[in-house]
Amino acid sequence: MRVQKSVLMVALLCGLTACSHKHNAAMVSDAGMNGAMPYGAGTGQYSADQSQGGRYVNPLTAPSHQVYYFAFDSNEVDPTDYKALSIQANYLVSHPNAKVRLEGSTDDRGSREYNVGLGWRRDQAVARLLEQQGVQPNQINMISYGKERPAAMGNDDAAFSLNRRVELVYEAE
Amino acid sequence: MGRGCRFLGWFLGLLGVGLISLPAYAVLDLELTQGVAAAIPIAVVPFSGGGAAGQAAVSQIIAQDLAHSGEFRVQGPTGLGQNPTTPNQVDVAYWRSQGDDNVVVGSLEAMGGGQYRATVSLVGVYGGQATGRTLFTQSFTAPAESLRAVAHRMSDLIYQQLTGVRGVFSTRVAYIVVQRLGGGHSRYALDVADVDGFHPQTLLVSDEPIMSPAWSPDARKLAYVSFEGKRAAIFVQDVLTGSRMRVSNAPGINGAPAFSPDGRSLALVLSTSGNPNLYLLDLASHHLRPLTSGWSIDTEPVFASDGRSLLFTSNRDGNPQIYRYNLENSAISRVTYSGEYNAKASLSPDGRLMACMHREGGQFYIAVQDVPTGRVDVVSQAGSDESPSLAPNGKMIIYATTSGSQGMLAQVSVDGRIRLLLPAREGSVQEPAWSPFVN
Repeated sequence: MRVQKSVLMVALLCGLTACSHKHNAAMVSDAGMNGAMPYGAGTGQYSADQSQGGRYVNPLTAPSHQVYYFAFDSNEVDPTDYKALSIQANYLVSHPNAKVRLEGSTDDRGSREYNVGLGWRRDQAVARLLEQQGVQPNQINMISYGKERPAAMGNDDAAFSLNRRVELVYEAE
Repeated sequence: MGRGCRFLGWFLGLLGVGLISLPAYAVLDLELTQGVAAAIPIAVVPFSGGGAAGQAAVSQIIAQDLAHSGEFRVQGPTGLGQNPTTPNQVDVAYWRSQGDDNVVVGSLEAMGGGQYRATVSLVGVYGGQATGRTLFTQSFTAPAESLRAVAHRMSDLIYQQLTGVRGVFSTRVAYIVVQRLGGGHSRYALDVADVDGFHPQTLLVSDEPIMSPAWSPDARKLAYVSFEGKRAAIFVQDVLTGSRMRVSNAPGINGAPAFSPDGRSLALVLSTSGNPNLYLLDLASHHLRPLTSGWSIDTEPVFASDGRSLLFTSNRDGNPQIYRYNLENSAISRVTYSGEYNAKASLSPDGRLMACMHREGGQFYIAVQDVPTGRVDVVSQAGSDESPSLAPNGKMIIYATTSGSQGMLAQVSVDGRIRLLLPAREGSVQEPAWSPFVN
């Protein structure tokens, strides 16, 4: 029974799908997030100093990277995010060629594929708010990572709350 | 070599890895942490012959296989006082005095051209003449590099003879390895190894997640979800040749592939209706048949081995529970009623046992449900247990657990009495999938 040498399949697109967009760094380090060890930005899209220690604060400018956090077992967008989200919506409406990708995530608890479904529900909630403000569906791509791309490692509420999120990433401005 | 090959080579060099060869060491270690009290006592005697240095001793592999099953108390192959290599050399009085019920003896003979003839005999020391009762003798001819596989086949025969159940020592396990690289980057790999952790083989490396490996019934292919290019898609990859095909690339979710028992279809999850629902994809015609619909999250389909129904996870009653979908009349019935969260079902081939991920007291455990009676037993302990996959003989479950922040694999027998840990040497291991019997 000969087993052939395996073929290593490489599927790598790091750095090749660069989305150029401006960050306005407005990071606030939250001393209350004890125990959470953010190992880095979830998708590598925000710079290291923005991810130190806690939550990403959404710039009130567009186009800008956004992270919307969710409460446990919830897919309702927090009302404190409405303003930043509206600013993105207005930008998208006035720039019909602009596109965003919504990347939904969950905390580390539960089955992996079921969590893909939960992340999807969060994407849908954000997309619905954008579309209610006139954004065209074809300007919105959605992907759910479930619990596969944590922004913070750790088995405590601090880490869990940093992972329950939708990231809004500009694919085209 | 064309430009494509050179680019690939450069790319691999950039990654710092090369084509993965097949080292004969284990990336996963096996530690038996609990075995049965009434284990079958057996002696495994070193084989005669043995051939060139570097071949793992066949008798050593057999002894480890039987010991790791948790059902045998194994003596040898070292430290034994006698060394029979054929059944007529077995002195039953001696082995009885050692407390053994059975003795494994054998030989290796070089045939030239790198081929070996390996012979094994299982001798019962009770109920026979002075040299015991030969339960079976079997010979194999194989090249040197296949002697590990031959040893596993011998273990299968011994196991089946003495327990009545088909052994799984020749099966394989697929799993995902994750390495966190810092700066928000991770490396994900889809690996396949022998069930004892040897001959690890990487099928895919990516900097985007890989999920849900699922074996084809002939154990030749794996379906899985890959997020390469920042979109979820389902691929089917040939384990021997490495060649692969993308079979589902709809916008949104493409998830949880599962082969039908005839290998011709994949059940999977798509969100094209707006909700994650189940579909059946014919791999030849690409025809897509919707199975479930509605507002709920439906996912994790797994076929019953008669192909007439499948189990799946759904939150249609509030929290995730497991349901059965009848493929003939589309009827849906609920299967799990114990606990507020049940997901990721894995079915035994006879359909009588179902392993699943089960939440109690806010913690996740592996539970086994007796399908005819509905009785549920929790068989794992860590509270962070997930992704159960039943062995094809229905006796053992492999699953994922954590130790601190590191993901590792573990095995437990369906009655909870036998436990093994399989820590990985590097990275975090998750989502194991036990192969079908390999022919």
